Amino acid sequence: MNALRGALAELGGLFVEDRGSALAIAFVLAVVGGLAAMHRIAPQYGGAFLFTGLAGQLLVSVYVAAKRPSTGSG
Amino acid sequence: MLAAALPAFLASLVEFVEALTIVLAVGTTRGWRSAGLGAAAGVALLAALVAAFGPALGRVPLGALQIVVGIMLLFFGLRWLRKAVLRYAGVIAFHDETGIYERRVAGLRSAAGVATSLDWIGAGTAFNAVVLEGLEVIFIVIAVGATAGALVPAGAGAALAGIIVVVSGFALRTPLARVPENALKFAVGVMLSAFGTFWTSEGFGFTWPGSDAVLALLVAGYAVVSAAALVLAKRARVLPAGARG
Repeated sequence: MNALRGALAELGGLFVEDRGSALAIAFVLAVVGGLAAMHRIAPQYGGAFLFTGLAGQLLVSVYVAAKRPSTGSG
Repeated sequence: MLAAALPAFLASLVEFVEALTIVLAVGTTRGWRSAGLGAAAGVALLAALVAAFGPALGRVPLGALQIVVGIMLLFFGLRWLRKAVLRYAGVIAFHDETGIYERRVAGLRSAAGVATSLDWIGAGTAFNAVVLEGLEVIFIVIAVGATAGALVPAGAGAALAGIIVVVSGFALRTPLARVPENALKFAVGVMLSAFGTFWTSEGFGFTWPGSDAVLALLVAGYAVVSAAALVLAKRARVLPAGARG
């Protein structure tokens, strides 16, 4: 059981450091992927749309982390 | 013969360089053993697939594979990019967080009596990149070789491109090891995010002007956004009383 917990902690920690930013990435992917599946987004603009969403997520995520009182270890 | 070998060589060179970028990124940040094993496993799988299926591999659903690998790279790359920016901004310490996390994982491992030295995520990332790009090379060889009726010269052109890229990869290992850790994570984060965005959007069926050449623009785009995020973080950061001057 502890081995499984260790493996899951490692796996989760490598991909998801901050739950909020991970959810934001998943949200952007779900929205853009959903629009693509429903053909509601022109193929030539889809990539730019995805990049904009992810870049926005990065900016907001960094800003929110910076506004939190620092513990020195993040 | 050259009519098939040259386009296959040039197109394959682009795909091999993309795979090498990911393998080098994994190797410098997660360890060369994991990156090498992942890449070798990817090459072995591709060789087995070619031996088993040959030209029938042209029917593999590449889009689904691009989405899976792309999303994995996005979570991996954006996480590192965020952390590197926060470290540069002084919001988090340079080493403490990794140390705390690694101690926690090590504690969980030792409690269970499990000893794993291979970084499976690093190996998996290198494996996925090699398989994805390798499949693209196979498609190129099939397309160029089949239309020109020259699968062997096209395959030889692709193989030559692969050898050149592998040799370049070994040459780049030593200089990369001298780059400071946070700078490396920042650069790797930018590259993985760019590749992740490119592959995910291709998997979604989106098209890019200039095809693979847009990767350079995506890398530049993420670098600019990260620089803006750094400025933002420096202005917004909240310092604990008396902790920093």
